[in-house]
Amino acid sequence: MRESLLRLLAMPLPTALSCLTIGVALALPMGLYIVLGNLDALGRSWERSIGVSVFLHLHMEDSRGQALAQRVREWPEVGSVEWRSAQESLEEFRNWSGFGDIIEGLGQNPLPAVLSVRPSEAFPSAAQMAALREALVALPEVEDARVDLEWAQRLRELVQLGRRFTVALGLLLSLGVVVVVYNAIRSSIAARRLEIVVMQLVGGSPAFVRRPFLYSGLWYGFGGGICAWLVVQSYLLWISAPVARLAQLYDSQFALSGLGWVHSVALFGIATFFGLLGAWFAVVRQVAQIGAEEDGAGF
Amino acid sequence: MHCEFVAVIRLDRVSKRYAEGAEALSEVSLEIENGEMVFLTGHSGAGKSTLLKLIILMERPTQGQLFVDGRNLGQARVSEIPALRRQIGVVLQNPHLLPDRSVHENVALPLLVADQPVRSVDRRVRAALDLVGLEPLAQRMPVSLSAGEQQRVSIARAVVNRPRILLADEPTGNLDAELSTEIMQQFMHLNAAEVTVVIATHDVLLIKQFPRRNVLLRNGQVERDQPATTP
Repeated sequence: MRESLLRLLAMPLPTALSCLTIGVALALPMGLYIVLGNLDALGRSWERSIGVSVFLHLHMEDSRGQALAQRVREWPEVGSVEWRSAQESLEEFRNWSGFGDIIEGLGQNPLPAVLSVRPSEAFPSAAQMAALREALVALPEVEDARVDLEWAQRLRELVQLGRRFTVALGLLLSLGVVVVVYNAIRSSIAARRLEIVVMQLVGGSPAFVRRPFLYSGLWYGFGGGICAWLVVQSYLLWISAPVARLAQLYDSQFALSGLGWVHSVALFGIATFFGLLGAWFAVVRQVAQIGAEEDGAGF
Repeated sequence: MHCEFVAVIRLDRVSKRYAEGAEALSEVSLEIENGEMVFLTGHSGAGKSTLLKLIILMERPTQGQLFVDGRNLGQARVSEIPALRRQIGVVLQNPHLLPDRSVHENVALPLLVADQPVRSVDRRVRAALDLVGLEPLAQRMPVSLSAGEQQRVSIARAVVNRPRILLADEPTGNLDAELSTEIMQQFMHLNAAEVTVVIATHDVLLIKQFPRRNVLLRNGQVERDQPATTP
């Protein structure tokens, strides 16, 4: 195994190029996977703030609204209820919209009092949210209720779609890794044809003859895994600062999470496996061919 | 004690026809005894190399039976071939030394493929190199050796596993008369140590110089089997 590594290191440029090619091929799906994981985490963190906006009837007394808030707060499916009077809603809208003068001209407050109801579940399903909304709309004090869940569902679906795309891309590029290693090992076998012939002549078993080439495939895969790891980590490091700034603009504490040790081990394992697979295909085919053409030995 | 007269190689009506249709050997029957030294002679295409290939299991007979050390090679499984080859040393016209390995490493190859312990590898390689007089050159690279020295290294490689049989295919084909004599003396030396030596050659002068049993092949058949004569 050490000898195989030394042989590869003795040809630094071709080895580095092969490893880099494997690295880039693996970095793309791995990077996408990590980005999608971050998007998913972001979506889930936003989902925590999902609630139902309950609009009460216009001109309802504040005391009735507060009493309703108190009643709803005791429902088991409700985590918290925030009551906002019609006047507070108007002030908020005036400050936020910049239409203060127009609103002054209306003469009366067109906005109702609002209850912001948050579910008790950390990650409620769409069905749970719809049921909560139905229960709230059924109350006599309520004019209407809205659930802002659609965007979160869309994001989740997009992430799911992205994951499938990543898997497909990963499989396709893994095939590329196998081809790269196959070619590298095939060249190596061609260059060491004499050695293989001599090994076979002096009684080297097929496993013995194959072994150094399989080790080379393993090293190619592992080297490619290191390259992929470096590419992904560098990319995440590069975009982490802008992402953090963007998150700050939205009052979010979100920070990109990179390749943890589980992902890193998985990446090295996958890369090594595909390296070995590529080498296996090359060795089984090429060495058997050389075995059948041993005439080259000089007999 | 010299050789016991037991056939270490026995061909019983062996024929070999290649896929292209050419018949390289036709019903050859031959016995080579333990410790014997035999020349296989004949023109190119006479069947000398094919006969050696059959013994080393690079080819299988189309017909007939071939026994090496009492073992019917026609019944040997593919998985048994490496182990059977380890019992036979082979020297070729071209020494086929690995250029990126030292003399010592080249000679060590048969021991490495046989998974011999590292400690004994060094000892046996030195002994094999000593046998061919090249022990001082153990760390040299093949490219720095003369043609004769390279062939002697290949002989050391062939005998490092202490095989009972040594096959040589035109081992002096690339050497001048002086070096050829030197290489032949190595074979004589090994034969004296009771190694059965079979040499395929068409070098008539060499055969005259080293009078041993001479099996003349022509068109895949044994035309003449001449016993050893005293010079």
